[in-house]
Amino acid sequence: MEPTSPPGPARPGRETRLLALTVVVSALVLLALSRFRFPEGSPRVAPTPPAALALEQLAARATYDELAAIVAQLQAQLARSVVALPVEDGAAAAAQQMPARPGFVPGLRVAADRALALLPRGARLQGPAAAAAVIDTVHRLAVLPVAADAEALRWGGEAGDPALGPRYVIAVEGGRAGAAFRPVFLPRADAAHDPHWGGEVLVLGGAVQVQPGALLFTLRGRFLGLAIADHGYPAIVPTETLMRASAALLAGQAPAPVDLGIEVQPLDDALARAANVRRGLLVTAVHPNGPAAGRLQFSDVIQASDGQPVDSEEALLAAARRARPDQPLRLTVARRGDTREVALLPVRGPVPSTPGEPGLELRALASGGAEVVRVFPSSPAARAGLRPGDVVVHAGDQRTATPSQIRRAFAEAPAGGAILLAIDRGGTWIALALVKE
Amino acid sequence: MRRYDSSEVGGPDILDVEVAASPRAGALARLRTRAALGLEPALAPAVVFVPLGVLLGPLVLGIVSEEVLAHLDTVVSIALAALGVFVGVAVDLRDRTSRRTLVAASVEALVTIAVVLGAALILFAAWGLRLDANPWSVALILGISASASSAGAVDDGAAGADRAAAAIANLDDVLPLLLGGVALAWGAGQPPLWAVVSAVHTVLLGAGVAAAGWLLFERAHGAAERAVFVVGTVVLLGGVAAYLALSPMLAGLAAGVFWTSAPGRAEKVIRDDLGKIQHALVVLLLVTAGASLVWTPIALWLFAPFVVFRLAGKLIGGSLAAWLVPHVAPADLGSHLIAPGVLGLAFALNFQQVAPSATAAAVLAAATAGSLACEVLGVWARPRPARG
Repeated sequence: MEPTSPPGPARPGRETRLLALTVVVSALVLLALSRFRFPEGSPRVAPTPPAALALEQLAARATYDELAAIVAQLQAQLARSVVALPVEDGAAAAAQQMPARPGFVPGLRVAADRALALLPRGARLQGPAAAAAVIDTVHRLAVLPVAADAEALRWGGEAGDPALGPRYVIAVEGGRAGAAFRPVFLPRADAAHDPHWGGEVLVLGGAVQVQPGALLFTLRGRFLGLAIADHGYPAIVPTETLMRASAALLAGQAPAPVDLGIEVQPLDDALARAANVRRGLLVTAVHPNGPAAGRLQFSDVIQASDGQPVDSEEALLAAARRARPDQPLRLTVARRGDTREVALLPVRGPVPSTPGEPGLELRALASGGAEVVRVFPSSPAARAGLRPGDVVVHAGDQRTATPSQIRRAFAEAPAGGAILLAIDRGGTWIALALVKE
Repeated sequence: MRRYDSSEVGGPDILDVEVAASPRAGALARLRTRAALGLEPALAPAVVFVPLGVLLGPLVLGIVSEEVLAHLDTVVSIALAALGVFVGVAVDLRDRTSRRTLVAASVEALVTIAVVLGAALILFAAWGLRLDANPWSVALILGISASASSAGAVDDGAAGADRAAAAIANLDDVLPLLLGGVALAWGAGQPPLWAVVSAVHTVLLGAGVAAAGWLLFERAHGAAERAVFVVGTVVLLGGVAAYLALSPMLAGLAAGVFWTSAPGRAEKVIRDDLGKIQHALVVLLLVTAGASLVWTPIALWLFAPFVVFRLAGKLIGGSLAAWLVPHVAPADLGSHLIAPGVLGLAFALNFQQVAPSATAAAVLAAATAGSLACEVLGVWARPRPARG
């Protein structure tokens, strides 16, 4: 009789093998896919869905005449509660290398003789009231005097809806002929906490075309909030959040400027890959006299402030401003794969520069002159308008000055005095005065 | 001759029998009308009619244009309600085995929903996706779309495991449709509590219309009059639910359950009369889904996770159901349920109808393409047919 081999361990069934394989593949797929980030700007709104087609057909009916009548009625009702304020759009002009263009932003009359408005980034108020404006540079809100010919809109005590369903609202935008009213359809709006505003904002879904700064009202004339661009997406700062953010301005006080003594830059995809961090603010410069000196360094990524994620400089400054004067700001910082907590006490007002130092880093050029590598914020160099990339070709009487000659010339200047610099900026020579304080 | 299990959605079909019996069946057999209901694993209807919809739709030939699609909205709602009715009339809880089958089917469906929902939430957060709807509701809708399954038709010679799997596949849509009523309202922007209330309204609406229809067709004087009442009742179910932005499928489910539990043979009447129009409605649904597809980057990103995690959910859910209810669910239940049938993409289409947005379009595209991929996987992973 031939010996029989002992039975081996039972082989798992087909179902078990398939289950094990699927679970392993699923885990791997989850791990692999979660390492990617959805490319910004890619989400597209679907082409006109069938429902929108029905809406277009509706638009041809008299219903829209009724909507136009409501807009006209509201315009009459609110005409004196909103004003169009002249501004000069400096940022857009600089980007296009064109002269600054005049524009208008809508202002909400918050008192008989004062109006509140959101200024576009880089825009400056124009007109006689501009000098008396109180401006919050973090939120870019401004309160300025206007002609006292109407009562203020009663906007306090009427809380907006926390979330809006599909509905029409009235957007008020600024124009040369005054405030312009138009209906805007909001497919949906969802409440979300925004660290920049320190409260809830309503993130608008769908392709809503509304200018940042527009004032939004319900069809019954109730103030809903202020339109903003939240990372490029339309959103509404509702009444309560807006009132909280503008409380100091409405009391006539410009919020004290705060400074952490750092320069930061939001992460884009390439920077995020290089820093091996998904989101946050990259530290690009640390002021040697600021609270961050020795605690933060170039390439650190600030991910959160007091536990709240931050992804813009404005949000960081807003958090710093909200902190009590004696309470340090707890920053969550990623550095070379590690995450650490860094406590910084924000400085009220600009970080003072070192006396006798111009506040810039220079490198000598072989062809002569010195190239500006870095300009520290709130320093004499920053106030003079020097920028990285500028080449200093004359410093005082010194032609083709070296970095040490420039520093020496500045140190030897009397307090309150200045040295004259000739700068080569992209082939154009300009003169700047480096004033010693 | 093949005799189909009368509990299958749609019941026996004369055309199928004729085609299958034909000596020249061959390729024609693969296009049997029963396949239109997702019951035939050899070639699922979605594989034929969804690409046909894409071809006829605005992206290619433009025959089913956006204007036509807008007009088809109501008919699609009626088709959805009819699907819900077929799920509802399969719910028979009079004996213990049926109740256990429902438990096994619900466990399997719930696990699939949980796996897809969990994975979707993790990926949404990791990708930093900015959706124009609540991410939880979108993930839940993806999970519900993934949970539907079709085990295929069974005949007299089918093994016990095949019959048990088919019975579970019939009932694993009940819990997703109940959750779907809530998810649709939530996805359309209602707060969660109001979404639950909305689902309760839908159930009451379905039961109310079913009661009215039952009173009518039970007193009909002839087969033709009865068929008119039945079809009219389902049209009313779909139309009213669509008008009120509720889920026609949940309303249909409630009506189907009402008719099953009502005295008499109401559910048999419904199967017989509705069977005459069901194929046309399902084909219309699939062609509409194909024509409504819009490919966006989000849809492409969602496609692979939908397929992989649906597969994982089905296999894990099948194993868990087999472990919890061993007398009812076969050990290889998950492999039987990989083919998705038509209900998943029907639900995604319903979401697109109720809350049209870029996200809803992406969910529809991912669920539709994912369903097609799962049909192919289902053919590969299905256990070898055994004869018992």
